[in-house]
Amino acid sequence: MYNHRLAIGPFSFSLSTNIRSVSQQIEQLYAHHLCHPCPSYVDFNVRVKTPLSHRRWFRPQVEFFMDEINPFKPLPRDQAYPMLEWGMNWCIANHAHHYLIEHAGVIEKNGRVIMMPATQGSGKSTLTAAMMLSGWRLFSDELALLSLQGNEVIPLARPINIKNDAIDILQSHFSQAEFGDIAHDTLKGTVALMKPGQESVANMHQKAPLHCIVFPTYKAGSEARLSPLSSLDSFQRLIDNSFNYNVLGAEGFHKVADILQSVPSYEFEYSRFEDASDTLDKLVEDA
Amino acid sequence: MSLLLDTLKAPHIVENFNDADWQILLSQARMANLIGRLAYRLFDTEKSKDIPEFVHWQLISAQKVALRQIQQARCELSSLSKLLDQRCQRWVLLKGAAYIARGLSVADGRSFSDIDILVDKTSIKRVEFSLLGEGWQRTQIDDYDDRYYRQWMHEIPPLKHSENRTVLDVHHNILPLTNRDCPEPERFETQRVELEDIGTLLTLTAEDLVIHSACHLFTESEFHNGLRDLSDLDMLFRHFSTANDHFVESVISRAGKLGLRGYVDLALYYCQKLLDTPINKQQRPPGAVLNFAFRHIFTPNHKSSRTWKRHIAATILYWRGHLLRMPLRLLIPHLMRKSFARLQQEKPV
Repeated sequence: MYNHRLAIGPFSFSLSTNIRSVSQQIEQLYAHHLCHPCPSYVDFNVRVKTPLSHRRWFRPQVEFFMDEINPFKPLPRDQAYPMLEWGMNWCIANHAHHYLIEHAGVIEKNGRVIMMPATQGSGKSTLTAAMMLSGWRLFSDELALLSLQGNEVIPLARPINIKNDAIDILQSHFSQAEFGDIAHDTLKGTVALMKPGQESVANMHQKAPLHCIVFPTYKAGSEARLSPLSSLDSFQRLIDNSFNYNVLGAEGFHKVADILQSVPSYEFEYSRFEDASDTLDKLVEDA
Repeated sequence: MSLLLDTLKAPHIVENFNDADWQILLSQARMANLIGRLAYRLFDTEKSKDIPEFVHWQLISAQKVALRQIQQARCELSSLSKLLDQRCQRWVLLKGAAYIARGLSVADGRSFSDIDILVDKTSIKRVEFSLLGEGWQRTQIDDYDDRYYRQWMHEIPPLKHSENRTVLDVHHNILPLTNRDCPEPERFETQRVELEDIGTLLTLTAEDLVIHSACHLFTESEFHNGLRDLSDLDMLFRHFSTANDHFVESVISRAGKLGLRGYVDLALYYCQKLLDTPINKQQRPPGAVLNFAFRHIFTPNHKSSRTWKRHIAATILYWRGHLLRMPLRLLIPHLMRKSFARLQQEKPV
């Protein structure tokens, strides 16, 4: 068994695995996290391991555990690392109800946070990764943790889940992009995880206030176009993209209402990373 | 070592906890489906200031999940009651749904997944069909299981709501028809509760509610929620005893009349023994084998407290549960069929 203790944003994880390649990828992708001190407690005790049955050798599988809870069906062994990352998302999204959790990419510049909620496959992770590689601080490519007490967003700075063609595109665009192993034929297609930048990880305990909400759509060949979105439309989309709006009940309703009263929402169409970066830069510039 | 049981009994012990103890407590509570109840128990005491931040948010989250489940159940009850009032003469809420309807503290933080109701056997077909027309669906089970439920059990196969995934268990009796203690369901006494926005609902009277919970727990063959259900009984005894000093006696005499005394005696013994439930009368333990089994099954199913004894206990109680449910001439073919089906299902994912 390989074991790693990690502080990831506000959470403390213990990651165990009996698969060498998984352990190596943890060491690679979380290299910056591993330099940070860990608290004495563990919030999520997580394991990815091959089962103690014939499936360890015959068409080998992996299983994910949080403590002794096994929430998923087993996956083929070569998807072990993505399974670990998905499982970690599950841990946070299903237990951290002291935050409103949105399915969103989150980036920060000038102390101002842009949250980019979007559905699966809209290019949110790719855009988040591209912005991180263009000098933005990464909060998360998947989970926006919004404080229920104030206007703050809490960073996670975890590896970014990149899918299919985006892997090559990002690699050719940004020479400094660093990926873990590529897993083929997963539920989400071909998947690889990108290492978060050192700056982002070094500042992962630095919260920042939400500045605006941007709903991104990638449209091939389009010019970057930002258009304001009414609070009402934004409300519905924030609810649809939330992991725990239902659990929070009235508290969630008031939180979303507060957000929309204090920050603007936009729809954002883009095709080139440079344009996207320029447009988003303008949003966080001093007025 | 069960920190969970110790903490539920005496929450003040947490003042001496270190981080590792807290972590074990959370794990045990989560595995026993008791984390919501633990949250309420700890927040109720002055000791809530001793809860470290990393435990506090987990408990708060568990409390929020439990609150939401209660709200959802009330919502479900509201639409169910409209439908069922038209379709059958008498329908009674059982277990978790009854605790919620009666606003009992045992419902606070209690993990909740199924709504259980009791209807007259004669109207069960009609009830089932009207539910199927209202968004409830049959769960996927094979023909054998379906027939097994309908022929031998005290309920029809569970129904699941197509939108919100609530599970509804429709019972026509308290115990399986093949259990030798199976009483006439009409003999259970009911009590009305008025709920704002929902209307009048029926639950069992306090005594019968407790008797039913005891029968249910002590005829089980699988104890995933064993500890939670025992804690339910503990809380029910405590709650009803505050208003009525002779509550325990009246449960005992009522159980005697219904021919269900054995299950109530077990409930009283283990509540007193394991959860310090205040019961005046000293209870006698069951025989050595059963006592061994229950003592070890009422422990958190987590590696921090699990021993080989728990596995043996689970095996004993599995067989006991099945033997109570049906005589050997029915049980042996049933279990053979089940294990054969399981072998066939071992196919690659």
